[in-house]
Amino acid sequence: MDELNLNLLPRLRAWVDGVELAAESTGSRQERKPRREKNDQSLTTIEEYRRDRRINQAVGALFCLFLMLMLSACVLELPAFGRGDNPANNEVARRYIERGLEETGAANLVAGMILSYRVFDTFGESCVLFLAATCVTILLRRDKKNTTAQDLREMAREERQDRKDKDTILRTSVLLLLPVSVMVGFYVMLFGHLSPGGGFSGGAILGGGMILYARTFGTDHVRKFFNEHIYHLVKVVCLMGYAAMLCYYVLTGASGLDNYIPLGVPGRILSGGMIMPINLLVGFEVTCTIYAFYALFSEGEV
Amino acid sequence: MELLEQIWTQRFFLAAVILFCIGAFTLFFHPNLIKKIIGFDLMDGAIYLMLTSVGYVRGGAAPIVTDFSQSVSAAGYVNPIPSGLVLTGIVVSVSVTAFALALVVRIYKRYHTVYLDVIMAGMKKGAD
Repeated sequence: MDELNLNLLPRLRAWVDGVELAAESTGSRQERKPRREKNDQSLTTIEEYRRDRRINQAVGALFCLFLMLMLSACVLELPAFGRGDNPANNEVARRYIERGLEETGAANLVAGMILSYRVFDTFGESCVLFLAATCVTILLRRDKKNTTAQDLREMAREERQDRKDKDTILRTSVLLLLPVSVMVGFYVMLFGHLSPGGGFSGGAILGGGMILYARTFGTDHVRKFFNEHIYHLVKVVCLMGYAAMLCYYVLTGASGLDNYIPLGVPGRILSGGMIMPINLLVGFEVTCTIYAFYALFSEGEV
Repeated sequence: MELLEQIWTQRFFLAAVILFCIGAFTLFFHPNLIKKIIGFDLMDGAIYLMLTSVGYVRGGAAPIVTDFSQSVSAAGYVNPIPSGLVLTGIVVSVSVTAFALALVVRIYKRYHTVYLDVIMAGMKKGAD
């Protein structure tokens, strides 16, 4: 058991770092050099797999067709589309609509629902996003151990290429578009409890704006105001702030409905209790994550 | 005739079913890993279409109150619960897609291909 652990841990660490252990790499990389020979040898196996695949795909197509027919038959028996008295529109939905405004103070009933009746669900969702960003960082982060000199040369070449073609139309239009997209992002986040929108969509708009900026002017420009340190700080502080707000819900009876925060006048921006701050926190979290996805996939670092 | 009428009323559900099956076929039987992920996203999209059409009420407005003077009646709005569920689903699907794509990047770095049959052939050869 101990031996197994001893063996596994360095292997896991090496895998995370992207280093290939000598014992492991029998499958691919060492045999890559005599390319011609490898291709000749494995051609038969690939051909075998291709043939198997064709049979598989034929069977699979039949299966999917069968599944489609079955599901279509089921779906035709569902309650008719768009009827108000369908069983899906039951007393839960009715209560959310009828009492939502007075209980949560949010004019946008969906925002009121997901951020006060179902706030723990939304918290889990933010955690999933956080975890995904962490996993992508683990898988794609570029550091000394998994970067070869050739990778660095290629990156430098690409960067020189990007520097060289200064596209005036692109730059000007991005400069015009960027303030608008930042403004719309903040608007969607801040007014999430009054109009369509909310933290996730606002964060996606802001993140999209940042990606546009990074794509046009280079990630170096973004790093001036949003480097890796700030990225980690914002990501963790937002999630922890959200968790702290949920602690308040737990302390006041876990349902979040015995809310002692004044709900304010419906329709004003300062209404809806904690919905607007939570929307802001979620929005920044999503902005960070979306931009981090872009930066990690394109360059391997934020 | 009656069946045709039924198909016409349930057309959104049927579209969701067809999309779902196309996505499932791509996910299970396409050798290219990137296209597998695209198939997975198609399945996600089918689920969102299904959920939103279940929650739709004909003539209903989006569940956003605009008139604060009178009490809100449930009749005029679509069901807000599927909208919330779809929101959750979209975020989770974005996360899963990003994670899967990162895994594909790592697989590509190691095997220099995204075709599953080539990878499998290489692995089988390595095992021999």
